[in-house]
Amino acid sequence: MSDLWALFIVALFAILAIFAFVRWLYPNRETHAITDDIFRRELRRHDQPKPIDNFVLSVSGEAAIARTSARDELIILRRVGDRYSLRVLPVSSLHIRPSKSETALVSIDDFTWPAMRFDMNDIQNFARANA
Amino acid sequence: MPENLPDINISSLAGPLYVVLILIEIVAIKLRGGGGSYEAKDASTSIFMGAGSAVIGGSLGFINIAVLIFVYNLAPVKLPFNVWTFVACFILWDFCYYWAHRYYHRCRWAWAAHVVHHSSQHYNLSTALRQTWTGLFTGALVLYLPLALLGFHPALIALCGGLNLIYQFWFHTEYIDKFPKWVEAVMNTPSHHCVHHANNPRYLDANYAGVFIIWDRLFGSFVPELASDPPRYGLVSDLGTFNPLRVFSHEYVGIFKDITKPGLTLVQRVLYVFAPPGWCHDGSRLSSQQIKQNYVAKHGKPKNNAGLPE
Ligand SMILES: [Zn+2]
Ligand SMILES: [Zn+2]
Repeated sequence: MSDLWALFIVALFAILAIFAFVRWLYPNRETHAITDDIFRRELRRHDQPKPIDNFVLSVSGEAAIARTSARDELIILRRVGDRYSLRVLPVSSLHIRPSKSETALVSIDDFTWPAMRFDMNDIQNFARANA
Repeated sequence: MPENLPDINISSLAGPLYVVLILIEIVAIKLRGGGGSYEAKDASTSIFMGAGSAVIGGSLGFINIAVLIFVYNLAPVKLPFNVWTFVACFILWDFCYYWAHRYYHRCRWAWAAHVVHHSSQHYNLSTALRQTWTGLFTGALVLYLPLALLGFHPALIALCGGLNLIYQFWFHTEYIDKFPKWVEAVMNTPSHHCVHHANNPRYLDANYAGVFIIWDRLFGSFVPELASDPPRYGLVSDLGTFNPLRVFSHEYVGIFKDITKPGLTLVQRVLYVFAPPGWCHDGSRLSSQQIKQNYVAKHGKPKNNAGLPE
């Protein structure tokens, strides 16, 4: 048992070392805010070539929500590391909670998608446009 | 004799080897300027999952061994430990692994454990270490019990299992392209296993093999890697986090949410636990078969329709 914990502690050091090494050798270049081009590229990559109208960007620029031509449909794009995760969802699955300093926390009933922070006015305008 | 097998914890011996090979791959990809990709948080999550799996698997491994010994004692014939029984056990263990792995993908309860291994959008050696912490609770051990009943000693079964898993480490890489045809025909390789990690519709539920790809060819689950359909790695529903606790538990949370929905029949609740992933009572999500059918409906039947419905 103690051997296993020793192995685990050594593994934690190995993880730290590999983390630093990978970050040094392969710095994440996907650090800018999500753009229209990125959104369209990721739609193609996820085999969802849907036309999108406009999108609202999160405070960090790492998440964006777009309307599609289908009235009840939203697409959420989120940067995870150097890759992008995408969800196509009905409008009703978006939950907006007011938060500190004029922002709102937006969540989607998905345990692996922590809430995203948006500007309160931006997300309210967006939600109104979809109402 | 089997009782004299050395008491070797293979996974802890292999740990340093894994780290060295990962470092070599990281540098090799950089030097070549291609042949794979690494991202710091992704690789760290993968290795953390592997370390957790080693600790939990090592702590609870005695349960597997106890069950194997119990069944072995019921075996009418006890096989000796020699080269022939080792080779036979190794091949049969791989056969059992094929069915266990197929079960991991076709039953949501087992998928909830195995999903961890498929949750990275990268495919590199660190992905191999992204292992479940709850393998014991899938009950897949039952599929290996016939080995003990045939008279293979539990220590030999455990040794073959360890060697099999070590073999499975190296082919989690995009750095190596295809091997000569005869190798690709018999052995599991990077090209075959990258298909298994891809979420392109045609690649879903394909190439379950551990060491020998022949099981997939025999039982109809083989799909070759096609240049016309480059693999896109990860789950059908991408994860939005690297948090290991969420990576490890998300499908269990999903099952819990589903079975506690109001208004379901008992059968529907049971199906939410044991039916293939994607099953639902109201058409709100898709199984892998439906994803494949939708793909063909949307794009038409491609020239090579391997992995797609007839
Ligand atoms: Zn799998
Ligand atoms: Zn794998």
